[in-house]
Amino acid sequence: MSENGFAITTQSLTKRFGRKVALNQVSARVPVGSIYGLMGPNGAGKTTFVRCLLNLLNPSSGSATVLGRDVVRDSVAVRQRVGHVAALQPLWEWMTVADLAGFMAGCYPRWKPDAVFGILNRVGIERGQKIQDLSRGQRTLAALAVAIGHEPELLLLDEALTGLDPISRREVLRSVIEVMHEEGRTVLITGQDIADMERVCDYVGFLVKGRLIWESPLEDLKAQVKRIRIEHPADSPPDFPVGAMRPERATRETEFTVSSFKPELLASLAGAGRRVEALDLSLEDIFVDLAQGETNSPNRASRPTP
Amino acid sequence: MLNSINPKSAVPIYRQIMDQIRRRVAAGLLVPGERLPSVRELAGQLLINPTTAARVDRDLEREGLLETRRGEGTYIAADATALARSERSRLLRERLEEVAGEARSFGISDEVALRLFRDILLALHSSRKDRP
Amino acid sequence: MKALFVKEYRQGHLLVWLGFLLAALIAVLHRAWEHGYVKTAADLRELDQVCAGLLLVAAGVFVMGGAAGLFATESARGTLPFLLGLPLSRTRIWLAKLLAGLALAASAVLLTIVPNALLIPGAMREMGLRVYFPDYIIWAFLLFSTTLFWSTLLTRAMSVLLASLAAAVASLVGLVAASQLGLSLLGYDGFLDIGLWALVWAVALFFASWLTFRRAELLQSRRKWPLAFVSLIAVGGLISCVVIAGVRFAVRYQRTGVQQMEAVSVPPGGSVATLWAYGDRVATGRNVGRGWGRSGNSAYRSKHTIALDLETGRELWVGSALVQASASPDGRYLAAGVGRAAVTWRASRRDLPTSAIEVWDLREHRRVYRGPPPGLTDRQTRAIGSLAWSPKGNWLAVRAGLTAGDEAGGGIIEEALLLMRPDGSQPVEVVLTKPSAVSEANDIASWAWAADGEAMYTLSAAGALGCRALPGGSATRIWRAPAVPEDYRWWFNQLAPSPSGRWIAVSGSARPLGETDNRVIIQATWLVAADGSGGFPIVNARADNLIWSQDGECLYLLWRPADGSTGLLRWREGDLEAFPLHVPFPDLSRAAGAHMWQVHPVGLPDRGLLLWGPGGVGRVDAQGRFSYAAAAVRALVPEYRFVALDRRGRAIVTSDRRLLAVDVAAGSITTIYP
Repeated sequence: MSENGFAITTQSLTKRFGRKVALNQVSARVPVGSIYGLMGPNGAGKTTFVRCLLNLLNPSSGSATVLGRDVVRDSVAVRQRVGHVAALQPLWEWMTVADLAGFMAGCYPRWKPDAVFGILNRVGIERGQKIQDLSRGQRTLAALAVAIGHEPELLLLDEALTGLDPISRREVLRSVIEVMHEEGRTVLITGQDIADMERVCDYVGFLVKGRLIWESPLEDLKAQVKRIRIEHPADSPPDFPVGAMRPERATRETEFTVSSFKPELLASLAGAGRRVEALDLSLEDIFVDLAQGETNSPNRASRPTP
Repeated sequence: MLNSINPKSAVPIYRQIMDQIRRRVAAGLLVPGERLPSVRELAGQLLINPTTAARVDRDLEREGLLETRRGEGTYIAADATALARSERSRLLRERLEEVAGEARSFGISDEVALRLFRDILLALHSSRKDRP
Repeated sequence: MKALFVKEYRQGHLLVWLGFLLAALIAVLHRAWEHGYVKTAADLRELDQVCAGLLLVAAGVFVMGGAAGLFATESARGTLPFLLGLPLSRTRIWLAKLLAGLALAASAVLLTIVPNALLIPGAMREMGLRVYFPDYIIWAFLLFSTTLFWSTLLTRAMSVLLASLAAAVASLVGLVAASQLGLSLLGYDGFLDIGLWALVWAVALFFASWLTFRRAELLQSRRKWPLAFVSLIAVGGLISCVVIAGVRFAVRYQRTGVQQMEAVSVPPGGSVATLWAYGDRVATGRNVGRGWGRSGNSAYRSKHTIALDLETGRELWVGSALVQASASPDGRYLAAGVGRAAVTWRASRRDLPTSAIEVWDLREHRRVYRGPPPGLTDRQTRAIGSLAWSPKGNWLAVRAGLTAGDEAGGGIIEEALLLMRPDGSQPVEVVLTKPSAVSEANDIASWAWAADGEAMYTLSAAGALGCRALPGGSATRIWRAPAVPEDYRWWFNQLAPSPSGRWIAVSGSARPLGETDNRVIIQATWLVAADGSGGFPIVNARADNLIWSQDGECLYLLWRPADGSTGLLRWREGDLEAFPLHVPFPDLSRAAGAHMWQVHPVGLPDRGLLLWGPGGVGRVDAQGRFSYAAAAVRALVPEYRFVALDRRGRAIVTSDRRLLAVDVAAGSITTIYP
């Protein structure tokens, strides 16, 4: 029940708040069965994106399709098959965990309590505990537990790991992986927990200032964004190619990051007295370099063609 | 966890796990007929993408290192040890290529490099003799 | 959706118990006060009233409380994104919250009021007496919807409550002001049907809050406020227009529902008739909102007061049944007595005496006065009796019973004749007062308007005819009846100033005191000159009717001797006495066996006389010759009885089912109503 194998597709999705443009012509595609990490600095528009998918916000222009349904026209049908956990989402404090689960059960046509209480039991949250007595990590886990009770095909975690202690973070990830490991289930994680995303995501997207500047499998990202290091004589420094990010230069050493690495590039940069090599970058480094590159010279075609 | 991964490395996670399993089989830590954790367990333990875990199983099975028995799980294949052993040289070769590259960049000559390597090997033997 | 309803109810159910506690507290206070301070029955009633008021207000507050938290707290606590992320459409969410709010409000009201029925029965009775519960429910509904509306706009429950209270107070003030000004939007009864408008605006508020919640973005954007208010005004305006159009159409359409008329009255020479109309489906704007065909006075089956324009037959005014309704001769005003003048839930209650007057301007279609006679208060005015307009419509005479002192029984009651301006712009002039113990037998002729309406003639029991200039003049005596023996007493039965203003005709008889056999000894009819130069008798008989011609040149006297015949005399300007005219009419009336009092003589414009009675219809012309009216006109008798002559000289007659205008001279009959 998805469109061409994608759980989420957006077509030039744009959202404006007055004069501020929160999402700028975002055309994203999240494949079915993937764990997609949407990364970006603060204020990049990640939460806005997720809210548009749930039709909590109406797009200013463009459209989005989730699990084959238009998010605006069929928003209720979309939300019936999507689970949603948001960062530090306030819940009704007076409820107990069981109350919350019961409430959610009443809102969805299908409900499987085993999955819900499986998570709760494993992390030691009791049914009778009031939500106001739960710690921050426990709240996120409780929210996650009730979010997957209706066996959603798509799970949206909007900065859900932000601000959690490492133990809770791992519990959340473990629960997500265990629940969503079935075929055909998709997860979209937004946030800035690069290390966790690096482990778990197989697709990544970069959202900077409302624009989607990169979208590809994580492997491809790591294969294409590399740091070039050139050792050279002091009197013949190589030029920084167009589109180079984070350029650094010492007297006999030059480094810069490129976003479309090919082995031929090394050959083209080679020269007399030069030693050229390509260094691998961690996802965090890639994140920083791409974000800064976008800030410095926006609208560059840094995104690979799919 | 018996498998450890370095997410930051340029080596894809699935390759890292595959290498580790091969190494363990080659070293006799995993013997033919032994059961491996399921995809779900593996992903849950390591906090990795289940697809990645599935890919490990699939690729290793294609190589012949693992076999899947329907409804029972994944097991080390009968001739896995032999296969793994033949991998050893390949694995070592990869490491040595890296070292060679480093030696070259330091400007160390081949003879000096070889001498260093031999010294290290000898030291290893003697330390082994010292141990009870 | 049911899950959401349950959650909302559970979230707010503390409020309900708070209402119960508050009510219990009031009950306890009532008990304590009762034991400690209440000495008399009046004190207890007052305590009951206070408690009743407190309970009603508390119930109102908890109705609002039920609604206040529904939307505001979700925004304030930040749980709104969670709620909107559920697979429920916004309309369903709104509906579930609305129903939960109603359930909470209903529970709160029940728990506030019901236990007190057991604990403070006196308060319940007071509530029942002073509050019309269907109206109260509608008011509570309006409060609820106002709070719901504000809840979708504001983020804190307390600010929602304050905003709603402010809106409620403002609208109450506005409505009171509007009703005092006599504004009428429905085209008929001036008192705004609060129930109907409350319902209309409650619905509009619901709609506006639904639209706002549905369309507004998740974040607090400024677009929410314009959307809310524009939709509120648009929807409210639309529904109001539909209601107004519907009511206006319905009332026109339902005109044929009149089944019976009563108390038809036309001022002589007037152009407006007032009557009570009965019908199953005669609707007024007032009653449309509360069930078709039910009148404010539930004892009567939809009785309405209608003021008709006799020229066009159009209703100038339709409203709930008024007492003593009368139109001014020039057709400009309508005056009537009404119940308590305060703005209560109901305009009038049948068990409360009429203590106030309403005056309507029929041309401008607004109320120009409402209240006790100007200068008097509610408490001083005990009961309004009859109302009479001066010939030019510039004064309204009111017969009223007054108390001097406290309202709570035991006050002195005196009867007074008060004069007031139609718009109540001056304090009343008290013209005649007398203790009510004296019978009213003399009152038929005790006063009369001068033809120009600037003066009044008063005739005392002793026979002193005085003229009193208005306003504020004192009476000057212009004539005195001749002296009679010691134990005799004058009884005057006719006092008729001429339309020309030159003469006042007086008729009366003197009888010994204490005699009850009606044996008249001395009787006469005099003409008194208005300028005070004296009067002279024109016949030694007491006339039963004195009718002037419209130019004041002829005076007809109708008298009925004891033998059952009818005598008709005429005096003309310049004559020294009245001369008999011969008409066959009395024979006819005797043959029909009808009581002779039912013959109605009326002065015609051409100095003639119209005779209308059960025996037939005929005219006496200026020369004194009698002729029968056309057969078609005669055929109307006895079904139709005579009311008055209108301005055009047509005879207005009614059969209690229809109202006709008859031009006797031409013999034409026109149906005026329905």
